[in-house]
Amino acid sequence: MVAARIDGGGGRGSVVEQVDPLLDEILDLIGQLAGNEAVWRLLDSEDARTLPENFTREVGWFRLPGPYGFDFSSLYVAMSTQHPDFFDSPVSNGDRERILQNAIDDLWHREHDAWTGGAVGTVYRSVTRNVWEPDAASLSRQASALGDVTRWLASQVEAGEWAGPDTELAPQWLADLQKHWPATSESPQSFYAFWDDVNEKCALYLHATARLTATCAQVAGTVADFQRNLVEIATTARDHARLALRQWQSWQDDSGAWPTGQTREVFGGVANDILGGVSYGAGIVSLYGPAAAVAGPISVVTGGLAYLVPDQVQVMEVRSATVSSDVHRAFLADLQTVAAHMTEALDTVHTEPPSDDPTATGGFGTFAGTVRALREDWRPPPVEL
Amino acid sequence: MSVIDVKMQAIYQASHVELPARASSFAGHAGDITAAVEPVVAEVALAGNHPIGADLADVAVEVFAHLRELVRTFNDCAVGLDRMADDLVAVDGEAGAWFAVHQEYVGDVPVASEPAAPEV
Repeated sequence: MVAARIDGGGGRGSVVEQVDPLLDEILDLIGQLAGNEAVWRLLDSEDARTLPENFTREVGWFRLPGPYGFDFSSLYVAMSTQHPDFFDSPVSNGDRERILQNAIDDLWHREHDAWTGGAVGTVYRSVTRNVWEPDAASLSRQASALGDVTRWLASQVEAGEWAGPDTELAPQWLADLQKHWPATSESPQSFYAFWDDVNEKCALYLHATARLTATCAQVAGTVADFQRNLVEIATTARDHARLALRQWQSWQDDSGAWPTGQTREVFGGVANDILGGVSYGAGIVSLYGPAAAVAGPISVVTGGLAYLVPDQVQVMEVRSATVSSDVHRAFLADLQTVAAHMTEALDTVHTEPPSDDPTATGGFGTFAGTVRALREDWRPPPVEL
Repeated sequence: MSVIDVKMQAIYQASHVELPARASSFAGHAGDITAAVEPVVAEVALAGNHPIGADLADVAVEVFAHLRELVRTFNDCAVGLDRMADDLVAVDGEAGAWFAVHQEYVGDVPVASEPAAPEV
């Protein structure tokens, strides 16, 4: 049993439903490898055991447990027919063979269950929490909603939308209002100054909202792609562990001495590697820019590896691992790398200027500082009625 | 139409129709920013509480605050013009006569509700 599971809800269902069973399966496979390795150590110790007097080694037939188990022959310590008690012994050589098989079964299951019932699953889930926990679909929906606001602001900036009362484009009511402004009030000048300024202010807000939209889309895409990457590297690790067990079946020896030497080839599948951090971030920034947010709805493909730099991926460590402890350590390192690379990608989204905005002087972090600093300049002018 | 008719029509149309419509539009879109940025910040917090979340929140709040300021100004202008027009109706016979047949302008200006600020 796994100590803790990914507790996702709502839109998180997709990645959780894919990753959680993969992690369980990987633990089960590592446990099977560990069981095989423990059994081989037992057989090696049986082989190295000093023979008591009138004992010999006989070839016995045994069964390695588990879904990837197999029948094999091995030497075990048996009573010699020369032993004086051979015909009277309450324990026959057949019993000794069965005792060793029972020991194999017990040892294999104990090693296997130590992996599947321990805290390792919790560790796998914990180190990747930052990747699987955010709801990429929700982020994508909000980027789309901000895009709608962006394009509404763009419509406010269009010529004539806030035309002054003295211009040809002004609506009649505005021109009439100027002409007939109540004489009891202060000058209407501040109102028309305000009115004329709306257009200019909306241009500032449009710029800010476009960058907000684009950055939100970049974050959504990053989270979605790294979630997909997490699923794919877990799949690769699972396939690699299966390959190791199949190597055991064909070689019937420690997995560290695979006959094919093909430790980096995924059996019957496609190997996946880890998305680069900085390179991915630079790619996603150029993919979703603020100009695109103004031009039309941005479609953030969630969960589809929307952007990938093929030569900027990191080869999974687990693809070089051969024994259970190495598979675990390498897979854990791969999971940590995925999480670290996603953070690096978000760092890049934070600092990289948008490629489709030549006026941008910095990344979104710099831009946010500018917006905060210009608060008073961006405030609409007051109206004195 | 007499001059006073044009005058009253211009002021009341501005205060009861045009300015509230703009206030409502800006309020709605400011509210859309709130509705969008709150879940964004919550989700980014789950991604290791990356600092980009704070900057997304800050920019959204700044834009929201300015849009809300526009809403307030449109509302204040509408209310101010309505009061001035009502004063005119009270003291000017012609204005009063015009108002008597334009009952759609009776009552308060339909000011736009102020949008809720993002809680981020």
